[in-house]
Amino acid sequence: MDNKVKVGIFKLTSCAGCQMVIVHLEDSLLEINKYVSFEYFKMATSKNEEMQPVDIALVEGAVTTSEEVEELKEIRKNSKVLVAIGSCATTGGIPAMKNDTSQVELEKYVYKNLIPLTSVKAYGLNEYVPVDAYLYGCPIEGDEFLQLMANLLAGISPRFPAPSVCKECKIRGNYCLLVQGKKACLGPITRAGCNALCPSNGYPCTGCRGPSLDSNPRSLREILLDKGYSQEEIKKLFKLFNSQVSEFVEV
Amino acid sequence: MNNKREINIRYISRVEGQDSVLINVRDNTVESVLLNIFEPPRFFERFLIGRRFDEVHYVTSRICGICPIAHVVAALRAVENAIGVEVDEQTKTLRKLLAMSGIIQSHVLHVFFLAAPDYLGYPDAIAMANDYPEVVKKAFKLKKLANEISATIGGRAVHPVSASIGGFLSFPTEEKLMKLKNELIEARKDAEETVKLVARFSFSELIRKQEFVALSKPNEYAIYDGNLVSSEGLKVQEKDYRQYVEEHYFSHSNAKFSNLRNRSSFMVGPLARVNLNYNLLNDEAKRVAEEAGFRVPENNVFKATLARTIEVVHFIEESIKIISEIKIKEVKPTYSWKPGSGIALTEAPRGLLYHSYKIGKSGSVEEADIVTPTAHNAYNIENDIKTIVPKTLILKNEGETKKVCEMLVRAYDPCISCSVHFLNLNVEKDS
Repeated sequence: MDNKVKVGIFKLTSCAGCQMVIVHLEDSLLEINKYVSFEYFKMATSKNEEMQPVDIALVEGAVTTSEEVEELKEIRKNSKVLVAIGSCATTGGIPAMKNDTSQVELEKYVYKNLIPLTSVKAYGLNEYVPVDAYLYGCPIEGDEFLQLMANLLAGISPRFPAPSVCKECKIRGNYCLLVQGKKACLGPITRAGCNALCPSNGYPCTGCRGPSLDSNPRSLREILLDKGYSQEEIKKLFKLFNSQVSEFVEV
Repeated sequence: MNNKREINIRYISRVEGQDSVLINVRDNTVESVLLNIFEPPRFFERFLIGRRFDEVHYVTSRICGICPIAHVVAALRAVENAIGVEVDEQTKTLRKLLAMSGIIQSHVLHVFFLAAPDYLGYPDAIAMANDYPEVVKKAFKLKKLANEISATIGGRAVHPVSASIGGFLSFPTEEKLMKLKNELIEARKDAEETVKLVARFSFSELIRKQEFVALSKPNEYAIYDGNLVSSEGLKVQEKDYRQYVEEHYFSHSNAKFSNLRNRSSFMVGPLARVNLNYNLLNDEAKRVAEEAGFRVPENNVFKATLARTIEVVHFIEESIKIISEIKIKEVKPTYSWKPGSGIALTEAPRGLLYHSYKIGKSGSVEEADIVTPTAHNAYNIENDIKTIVPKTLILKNEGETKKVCEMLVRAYDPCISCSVHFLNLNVEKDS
């Protein structure tokens, strides 16, 4: 027990889906539990008292309030390794879609009376603190989480290769949604690792894992314009998960 | 002598998201109860504006990682109602199967991982696993099976991708469905034992006159669609929802809380469903309910956990029935659409879920409105706490009051991420 690696799972602004992927690992979770102790996991345990130092902090969610900025800094101070898990934590993800709209307008839309809110623009964790490792995707992949934990427990810094989703689609022999289906698929510019899950199920890639290593959004934009998509439509697609990712937005 | 004190439950763990309860007590009477949900808001309804109608379900699934399926199904139906798309029976059946798997998963998670540790005396399920390995193993097995169904039908358990406007983009193979059916048949026993286990929990009691609200249909236990009915005789068509359910602001909490027009708060969720639609449960579910001593109407809020286990039995049987009967035709969705407005009411794991959209000429969302089960329940939770706190105060033990309140809040299985897709409640700081 005493020698176990201390792990904390924290949630900022998010849907808890990435934590759910971890909870859904079931048998593997019990296996991991032999080597680590979950010191901080509010969704699962009532033994969460004051923040104690942990070896590994896994942080889900975007930073969207000033309180969260402080909380994140506190987590950073108290952890040896800090991992951003999921699109929200890596780049701001879906919550960052609001950044284009002024805060006043956002609040007016959902409240009849304006009330004091503490929301700030939504960003990934590395806007405020150094991040040691990233797990990509909305949600994260269970297998990548296990690989990350295995690496960290072995003292290896985790590395996830970053070819494009296209590569995984080709390996699976999928019908090409972009070329054959004329759908606006972001597979060519998006980081692999999901085993091309969405395109394999007939849904075009939305770029939830961020840019691949050799990402060329400019070229994809040309292809989509050729296929009859408007500049406005392309912009919206690129910004769904990646409104804070310069490679995507500059296009 | 003024004996004023403040009981502050700063962080309720083992619920999904972040909330707290602040109770002000003077001379052993409760002056105020503030349920503070301090999960930050995400403004989904605003940033959906301008997105294409066929993305809405994909985006709104991100409201919640525990019940993404419920949001997908509600969003698809609401958008289809808006743009005049009808889906075939196979699509409806597959969506129901998908929705059932989502409910089973969420209920099992709640019963074993969030609620059971309270009743068996552990901080969490992992600690519980040391003394009750068989129970935890059973829970993992049931949850895994539910997730497998979600992934088989929806492409992925968390944030599914296959369900689409007009139908499904990919289909399960017969082989996979048969495997699931066999596993479901095996799971019957575990589900039944779960009911028995939970029936033995020593539940606290909170009974007060309150209104239960759920969807209802004449010939099936409604989760996909239906009329809105209540234990006080309300019967409303889906399209008239907004004429009957209001959202209020309370200055003390800065929250949007729901109530029925000219009436009070209400309870949605498994207890409401079982109470209102008991006769439509299948025989298996009714049998285990009877054996567990569950009699409708069951007015004890804490028994919502038992209602969840009864629903698990019901939905396992229903899933077996669907898989046994379905012959899948792999037809990809084709449809024509027109601009318009539409709403959908569905039963999410935690109860009534409302999605509403206006789709413009260009196919973009012009208006969006979403009310989640936890938002429907929030006002009722406050009223429940007001009722239960004076009872626990006799014990003069603040720790006990806190524990009972936490268990009460957990009985609702509040999904805080869901409820703050739009809400903002201020953090109630300790002075």
